[in-house]
Amino acid sequence: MNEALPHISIDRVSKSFGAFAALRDVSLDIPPGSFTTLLGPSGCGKTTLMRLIAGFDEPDRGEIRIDGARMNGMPAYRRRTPLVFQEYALFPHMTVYENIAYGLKLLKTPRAEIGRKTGEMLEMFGLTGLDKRLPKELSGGQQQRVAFARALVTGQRVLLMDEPLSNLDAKMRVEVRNELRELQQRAGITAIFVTHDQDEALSLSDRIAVFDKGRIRQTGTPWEVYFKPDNAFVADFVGTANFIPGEVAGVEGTEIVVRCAPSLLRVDAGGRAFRPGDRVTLVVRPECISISAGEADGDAEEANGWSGETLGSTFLGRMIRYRVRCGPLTCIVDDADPSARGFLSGPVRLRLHPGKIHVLPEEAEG
Amino acid sequence: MIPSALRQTWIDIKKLRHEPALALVIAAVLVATGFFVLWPIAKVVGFPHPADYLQLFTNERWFQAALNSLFMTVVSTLSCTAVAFVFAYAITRLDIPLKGLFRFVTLLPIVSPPFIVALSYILLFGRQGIVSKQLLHANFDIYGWHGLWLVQTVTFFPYAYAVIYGVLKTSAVHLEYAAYNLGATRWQVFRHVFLPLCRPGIAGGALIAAMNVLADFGNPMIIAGDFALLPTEAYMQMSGWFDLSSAAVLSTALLLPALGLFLANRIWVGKRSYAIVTGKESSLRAYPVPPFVKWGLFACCLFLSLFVLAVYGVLFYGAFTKTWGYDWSFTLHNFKYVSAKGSELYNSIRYALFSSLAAAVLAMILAYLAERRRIGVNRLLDLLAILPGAVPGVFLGLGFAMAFNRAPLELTGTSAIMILALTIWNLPTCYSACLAGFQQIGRSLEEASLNLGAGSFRTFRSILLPLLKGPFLSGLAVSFLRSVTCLSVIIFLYSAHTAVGTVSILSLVQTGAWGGASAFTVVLISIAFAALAATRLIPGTQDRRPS
Repeated sequence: MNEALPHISIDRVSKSFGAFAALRDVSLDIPPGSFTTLLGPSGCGKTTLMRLIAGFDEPDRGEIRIDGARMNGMPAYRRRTPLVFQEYALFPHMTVYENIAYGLKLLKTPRAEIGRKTGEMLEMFGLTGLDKRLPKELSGGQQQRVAFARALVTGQRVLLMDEPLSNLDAKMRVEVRNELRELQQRAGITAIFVTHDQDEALSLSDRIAVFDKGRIRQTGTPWEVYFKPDNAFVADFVGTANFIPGEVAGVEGTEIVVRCAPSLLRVDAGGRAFRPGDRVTLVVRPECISISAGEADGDAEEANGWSGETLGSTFLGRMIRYRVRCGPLTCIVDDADPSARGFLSGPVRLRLHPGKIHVLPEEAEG
Repeated sequence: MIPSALRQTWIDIKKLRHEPALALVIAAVLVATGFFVLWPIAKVVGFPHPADYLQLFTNERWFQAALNSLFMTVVSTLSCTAVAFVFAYAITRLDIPLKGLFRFVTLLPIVSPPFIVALSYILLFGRQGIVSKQLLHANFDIYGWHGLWLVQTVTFFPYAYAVIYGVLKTSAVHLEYAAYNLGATRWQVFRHVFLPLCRPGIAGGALIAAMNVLADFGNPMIIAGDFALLPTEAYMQMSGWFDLSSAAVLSTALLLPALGLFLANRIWVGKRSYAIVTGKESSLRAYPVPPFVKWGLFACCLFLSLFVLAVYGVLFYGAFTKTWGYDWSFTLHNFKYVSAKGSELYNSIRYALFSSLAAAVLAMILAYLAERRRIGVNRLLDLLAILPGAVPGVFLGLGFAMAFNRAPLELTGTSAIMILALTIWNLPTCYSACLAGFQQIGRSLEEASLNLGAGSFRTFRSILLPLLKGPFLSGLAVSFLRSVTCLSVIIFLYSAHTAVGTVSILSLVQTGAWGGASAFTVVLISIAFAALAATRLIPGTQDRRPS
């Protein structure tokens, strides 16, 4: 991912609706051929940004460029940024064929070519034989495939998607997810995907931009966003995390020692510089803590080991999620392979590996 | 607040530089609609000397007419609303037979000429009436306020019914079940849950009925006798003494309460959501009511339905009867009146066709601009399109007569003025239908079209227009019906060679030619229903099926 020019670039864009600031000074570069997800809770600005890219709204400030060309003021119908709508927005009075061919017709494509390209799309999306149906005569999954075919048929280099999977049932969503990723990579298009579903974001994307209250809080690969969140919001929104407040007690090379409520913890500083006395928050994913039965041995307190008491457990099939009290803290701990051991209860031992703890410096705002 | 709104308006208007064609259309529509809506109103209101308005209070006859109008509006509104509620409740909530008949009865008066009930009422209860003379051998004076009250109730309860029915149909039955579940009795559920939820609907229905009763001209003209009302009094001043100033004063006196009702409807009722909008109709069955309530309401509906049917039946009977009250033998003679007035019938159809087409097209454009585009003047366009709905027909007719009788537009006595006036009169009907149509089409459909590369006009033509065929045609059909049966608007506008069917009927009634009047009305209704049936046959109004 080292291309010289971003395909789409968002440069310090702001947008308000009345008194509501939907986007505040957002910048984002999207490399060609990448799959970028705009992730965030509802009302965070992710859909607004997509609508600005498509040209349905104009930014109040800042620039949007596609292939280096400034898009501000360019009407939506000249932008060539096909969008798959959340509710599909298939034209109810047109057949499947007419829906897919509509974009080609607008480009004044010769008749024969319209037929050929539309046929290809019908075949590619498994819609052969349904071409004379009206949208309302299709299942939800079929409608969604028509929406994709309609967006892709003109062969643009960009594909925008606004929560396109949210109207499918859970099982289908996972299937379509895989197909979508494959399709995007094969066609080499630049995809921008809006969702509030972290699983979708993590599984599909090359890069994720996490939005909150009109700002991008972090941009990174799915791995970075999950394991190395820039701030507590990202850590909390993407996946589940334990937040352990503490104070730096000492620095030892690349590691620091943090004083937490139950005990001292040795933590990998992650390349950041800390000084003794700094307030920090440790972010630990539930699956990064190992749990075992039994009480502390008493004599040699194990490094980065805490003893605790189970408060409750939830069985999720592939794992058991425990709530464990350690001193004043309540930790969430996943036992990733409960098949042999079954449920634990009573006193337990937790181990927090120094390399699996992420340190956040104290944030100015919550 | 206001400066910032103005600034936003200016910003929106400036953006139109990029779409000069659209800007041109907006300007043309704005000027044309403004000219034909506002100018006639201003002309009537501004015509009399300010001192003339004082006569409303000093002239005893006029003051009485104003009081009578208000009184008639109040009592008729109460009775219309009550009847409408009973019908709506019975049809939506009760498991009773003959619902099809009841529905039909609530539709009939809407698609009939405005004075048809008054005419039938005379045939039933007048001096030669079939009930009064033949059955009861009584001779009572039916002209006056009580006769009018009954006639107005039968004529206008369907308008209130349409609104109340819409609310009751979507009212949340599951909330009533929740109340029963919490231990409420039937009466408590009715009082505490049902009524509060449909109160805005009832208020809306009452206001619609009130507007219609207040502005009605045909029924009072025929049945009110010496009971003077504002619209009839205005007509008398004009036709009897050519006193424009007095007619203008009386019409303006009518306009004020009409505007008040209209505003109340827009602001007070329009703002409340009618029912809990869940997007889907509840499939729950209503909780059963006690049998005596159920059959009591059924009896009410049945009685009223029979009365409405009698109204129409007697009209058909009258059309084929030699001399009403004396010679009951069958004849086709009455239809000679109709053939003698062939040109007037032709005018009726011609004007109705042109004006409803013009209104439907204009309304479509207005609704698109007002609902779909940010052009700064959306509110203004919306106001212009609905304002004629607040103006009583008599006022509108007078306005056109006064506004276009000299340059720049001298149209007195022409077909053009008839068509123009009917167009403006029908504009709100078509506009509401189109607006509702637009509101049902998700904005994302348009965005999808733009996104695929279609400009505004292309999107309008290939996406919105096909989807709006239904509302467009229904607006067209209703407008056609209204125009064919319209009397109030054209009473000030027609000339010898632009007279229409309703005018002939009125003159036949006034000369006591009941048979001819009935025959003419029957023909007019038949035409109206044929038109209504024709629009149902046009392909595309029904759901499109794959071939």
